[in-house]
Amino acid sequence: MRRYLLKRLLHVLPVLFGVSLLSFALVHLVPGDSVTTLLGTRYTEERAEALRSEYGLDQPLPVQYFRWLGKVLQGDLGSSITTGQPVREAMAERLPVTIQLVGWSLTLGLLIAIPLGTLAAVHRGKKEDHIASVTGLMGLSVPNFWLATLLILFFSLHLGWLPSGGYRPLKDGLGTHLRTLILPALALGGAVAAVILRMTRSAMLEVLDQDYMLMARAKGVPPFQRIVGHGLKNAFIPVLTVIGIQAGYLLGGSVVIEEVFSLPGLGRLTLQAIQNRDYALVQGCILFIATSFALITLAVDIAYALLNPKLRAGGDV
Amino acid sequence: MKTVLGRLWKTPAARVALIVLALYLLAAIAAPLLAPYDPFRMHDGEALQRPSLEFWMGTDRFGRDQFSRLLYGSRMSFKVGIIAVGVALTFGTTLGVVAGYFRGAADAVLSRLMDILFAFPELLLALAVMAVLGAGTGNLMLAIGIVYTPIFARIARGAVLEVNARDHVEAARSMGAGHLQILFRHLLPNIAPPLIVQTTLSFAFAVLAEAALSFLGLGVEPDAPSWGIMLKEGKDWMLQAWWVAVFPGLAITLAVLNFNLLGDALRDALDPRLHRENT
Repeated sequence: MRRYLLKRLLHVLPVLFGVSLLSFALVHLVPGDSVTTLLGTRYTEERAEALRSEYGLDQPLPVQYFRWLGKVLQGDLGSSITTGQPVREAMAERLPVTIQLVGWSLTLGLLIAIPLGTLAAVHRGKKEDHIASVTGLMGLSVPNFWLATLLILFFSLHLGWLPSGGYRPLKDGLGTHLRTLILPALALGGAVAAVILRMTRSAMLEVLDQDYMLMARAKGVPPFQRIVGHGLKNAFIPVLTVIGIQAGYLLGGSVVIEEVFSLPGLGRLTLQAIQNRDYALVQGCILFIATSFALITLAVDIAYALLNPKLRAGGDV
Repeated sequence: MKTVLGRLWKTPAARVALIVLALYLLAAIAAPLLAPYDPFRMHDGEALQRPSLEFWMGTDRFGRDQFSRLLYGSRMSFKVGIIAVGVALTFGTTLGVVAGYFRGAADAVLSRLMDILFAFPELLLALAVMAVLGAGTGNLMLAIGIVYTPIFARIARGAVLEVNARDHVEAARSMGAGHLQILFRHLLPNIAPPLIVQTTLSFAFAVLAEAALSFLGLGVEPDAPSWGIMLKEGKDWMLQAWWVAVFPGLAITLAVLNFNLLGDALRDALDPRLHRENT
C-alpha cells in the first residue's frame, strides 16, 4: 500500500513538470506579440524594447522558462500585461467563484445521478431503467452552452424567476448566492449527472449480483437498507473514479458556462486572457487549472486505493 | 464484420442512429441542392422572421434563412469531425502501436507525454491550442485532433499489449514473421474494435467541441455557417426570437446523441462477451 502511494506520488512529479513546460511553451508559440498589442497606437521600437526587457521577453526561451518556473515555485506568477495586476491576485479573486460553480454542479450532479442510477439498476429493464438511460444519454448529448441558453430563455426571460447572469457571493446569504448559481450549476452539472448516472447503474448492477446481496436478502435485511447500506456502499468505489475524471470536464466547462452567465470566475478570466493575448495571465490560468486537475486525479486515485479493500490489505494494483 | 453489422442493425437504437446520421450526412453532402436559399443571403426586411412556410426555421437578425444555414452547418460539423478525428486516429494509433509493440524507451517517453496531455481538461487544451494557432477552420480541426490523439494512443497501446501476448502472435513470431507482418496481419485487425468505438464517440466530441469553440469565438471564421456560430449569435436575440437559439442547439444535440447511441451499440456489437451476457 505504502509502495503504491509512493509510486503514485512520484508519477505525478514528471507530469507536473511537463504541465509547466507545456503551459509555458503554449503561450510562447502564440503568433503575434503581446507587446505590440499592448502598445497599440503608442508603439515605437524603443517603447517595445523597454517593455520586453522589463518583462524579460528579450531573453532566450529556456532562460525565460527556468526564470519563470523558479518564480512560480515561489508563488509568483508574474503580472498581467494588460492590467498590471499580479496574476496570483487576479486568480485568487476569481477562484472562489469557479470553486463554488464546480462544487454546486457536482452536488447537483450527484443528487440527480446516484438515486436515478440506483433506481435504474434495481428496476433493470423496466420503465425506471429506460427513463434513466434516456436521461443519461440526453445529458451526455446536450451541449452545456445550449442547455445554459435554454435555461436562461425559460427561467430568466420567460418566467423571470432567476437572473440570467451575474454573481453574488455566499456572504450575501445562501439564497441570494444560489439564485445566481443554480442555473449555471444545472447547465454544467447536467453532463456530469449523466456520466455518474451511467456509472452508478452499471456498478450497482454488478454489486446486486454478488452473493453478499443475496445473503442480506436471505437474512431479511429491509430493501432500502440492503440497497443503500450494502449495495451503494460497495458500488461507490468505481463511481468515485468517474467523479475524479469529471473534475476535468467541470474545469474545462466552467470556461463556457462562466462566459454565458457572465460569472467572474477563473474560466472567464482564462478566456479573456486568451482574447487579450495576456501571456502571463494565460500561463498562470492554464498552469493552475491543469495542475489542479492532475492533483485531483491523484487524490481520487489515493482515495480509491484507500477505499479498495484488496489494496488496503497490501495487494498491488 | 458481417455479423457485427447484422447485430448492430438488430438493435433498434443503433438503427435509428444510423438512419439519423445518414440523413445528416446527406444534408452535409447535398446542402447546395437541398437548401432553399443561399446561407449568406440577407433577405431585406425579413430579419428575425418566425418559422413559416417561406422560412421553415425562421430567419436570423440579418434576415438569413436559418434552415439553409443549418444544412450548411452540418457540412461544417462533418468536415471538422472527419478531419479532426482522422488526425487523432492516425497519430494516436501510430503512437500507441509503436509504444505498445516496441516497449522500452519509446513507450516510456510516449506514455509520459500522453500523461502530460491528459492532465489538461479537454476543452481547455483545445482552447489553448486555438489560442496558439488562432481562430479558423483548419486550426480548429488540428486542435481537436491534438486533444484526442492521447486517447487513441492509450487505447491502441493497451490493445496492442493485450493482443501481442496472444498465442497466435507468438506462433507467428516463432515462425519468423517480421515486425511489419505481425503489425499489419495480426495486431491491427485485432485492435480495431475498441478504436472503431472510440472513433464514433470522438465524432460526438468533435461536433461538440467545434460548436463550443465557435460559440466562444475561438473556432471557425465568424461568418461561417456553423452551428456554434449560429448559437452564439442567437443567444443575444433569443428574447425577441426563440428560434435563433433553439434550432442550432437541437441540430447539435441530435447529432451528438446519435453518435453516442451508435458508439454504445457498436461497443455491444463488437464485444462478443457482452453480447452473450445481454442475450
